[in-house]
Amino acid sequence: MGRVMVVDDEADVRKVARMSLEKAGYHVIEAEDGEQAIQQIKEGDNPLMLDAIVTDINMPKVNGLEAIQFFQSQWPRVPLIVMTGYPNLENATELMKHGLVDYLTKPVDREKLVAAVEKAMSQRELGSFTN
Amino acid sequence: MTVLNTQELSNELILNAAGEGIFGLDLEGRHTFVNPAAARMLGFELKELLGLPSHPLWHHTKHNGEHYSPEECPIYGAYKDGRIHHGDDEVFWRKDGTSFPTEYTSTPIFDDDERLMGAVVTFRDISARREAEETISDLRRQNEYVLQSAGEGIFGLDLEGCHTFVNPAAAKMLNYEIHELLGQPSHTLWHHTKDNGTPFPQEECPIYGAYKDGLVHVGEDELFWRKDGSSFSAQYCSTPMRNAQGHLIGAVVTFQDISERKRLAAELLEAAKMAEVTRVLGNVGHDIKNMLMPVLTGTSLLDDELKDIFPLLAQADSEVARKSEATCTELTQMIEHNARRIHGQVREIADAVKGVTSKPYFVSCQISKIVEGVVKSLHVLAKEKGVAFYRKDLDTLPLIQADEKRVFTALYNLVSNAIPEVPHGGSITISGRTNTELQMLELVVTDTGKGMPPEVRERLFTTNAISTKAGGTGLGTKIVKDVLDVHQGSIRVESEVGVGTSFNISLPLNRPGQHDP
Repeated sequence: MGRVMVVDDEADVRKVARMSLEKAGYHVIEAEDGEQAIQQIKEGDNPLMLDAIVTDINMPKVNGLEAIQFFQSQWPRVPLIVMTGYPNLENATELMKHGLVDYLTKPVDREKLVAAVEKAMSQRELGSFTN
Repeated sequence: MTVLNTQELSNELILNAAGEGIFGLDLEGRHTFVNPAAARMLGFELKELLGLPSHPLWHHTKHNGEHYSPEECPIYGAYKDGRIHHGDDEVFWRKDGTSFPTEYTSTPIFDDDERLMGAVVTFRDISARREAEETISDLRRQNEYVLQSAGEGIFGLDLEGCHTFVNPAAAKMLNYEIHELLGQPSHTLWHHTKDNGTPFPQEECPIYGAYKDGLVHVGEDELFWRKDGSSFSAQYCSTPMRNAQGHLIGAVVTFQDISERKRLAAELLEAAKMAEVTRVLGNVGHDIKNMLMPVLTGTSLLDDELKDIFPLLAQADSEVARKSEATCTELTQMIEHNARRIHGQVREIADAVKGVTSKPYFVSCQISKIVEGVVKSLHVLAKEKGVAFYRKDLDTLPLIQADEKRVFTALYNLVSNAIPEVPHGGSITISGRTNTELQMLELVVTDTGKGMPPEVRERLFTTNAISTKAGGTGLGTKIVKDVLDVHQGSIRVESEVGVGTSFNISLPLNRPGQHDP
């Protein structure tokens, strides 16, 4: 089963995302922000073992496209799923062009979150994220 | 030297020094003497004048070019009728053929026996004065023109506070004819009452103050009253007027109707407040959506946990366990239901914020698809309330250029607002047609609801709309109106209490500013 990194500055959001994904059989790593995400990966884990990242894009330290670019520069092969409380069609289209797998609007339904991660996994398996 | 000689000498000196032209004429009108100033003004040498008749030399033609006969000449008249003749609207001609306006006096002279023996004429070149007079009259005309055409109201007051002049703009703003104002006291006529409705004592009037204390008085916002009893907010400046001696003789007042400016300022303030409120609401909405995620997902997870754990209980089949499971399910459903309601309202607020902030995004839209989306989103709610949806003539509608999301939002709001209004067993119908003449697509959302009383109908489409929905924000119809404004469309409402309500929406087929290719 895959490993998913959930990045959100709200602990409860991370918790329910983790529980939902764990229930669907994924292994989940949590991080408050990008820096902590790197930290988590560095601490003994193999970065290649990361299969998907689910991240908020409105966080105190990084925002929007910046967040996407940050993760893509860190882990270019890992598919990204965005969760946001500020749904914005133009923004979403723009982000999709940057290789985003999915764009979820908060509050994200459990089923939708799991479905988005599954979709990301299948794309990864198909090799569409190998550069 | 004899007395006579002394007298003659002093006369000569006076003649030579005088700035006025002075000459003498005999009974034939010939120059008997000419002073240097006269010769200089006429452009002749003294010797060219002495002994020659004056009229044919430099008084032969009138200023309009007509011949001037000596018989008419008032200068000659003096020695003919023995009276003093005066002229100030004639010209004298110089030797070089040019002329100048002049003012002259021709005085008869008599000998010791009272017999006429000629005339003495004094004259002045009055071109400078004429020029000054013309300048003054030009200025007067110009002032008059300024007064007539000024957009500001301008009037003069005497020391009694009565109008001495009034320009057309002032009369128009006050709704009087100019003649109705002239001579009338201004304060009691149109400055009598303050904006709080109390009388404005004349003694306190700053407009009158100007001619009392000699200072400029400015009013930033006071009421001026029209003839018909209505009033407007005015800004004015009352400036004291003094005569040449420096004595106060009245005041000149300029004023403007500032009601429109005030209205715009109030509107801008309102818009700024609205923007701030929506910004705050947007932030709050974001936070709430974030917080709802743990609630909703957590509830769903909890529900799963409970479903997993109950069958494993030792006494799963006991009455207590079954009852507890039912209560747990009820409670988790309640939490979820209410969290979704919160979400619905936050979304409504977010839509209102978007109506104020985000840029429209026009694409080709199929209305039937948008309506389908709306019906799908709301069918659970409608079913709960026992309200049926009908769709009519939507599939044949042409594609329109519109902001799909916004149109969805508008229809969603209209329909979701209607649902609670419709009694069980009622319906909501969405129908459409094309108005080819106006190039508009017309949609009608009709319900069989309670209908709206006029006071509710009037406040629709504003932020002051009254929400009858329990817990509704009341922003719904304002959102709809904003959407239609973006599309340059329109909305009309027909409603009858007890019968139902119809919202008629018109949307342009093409994007505003674009036409059929």
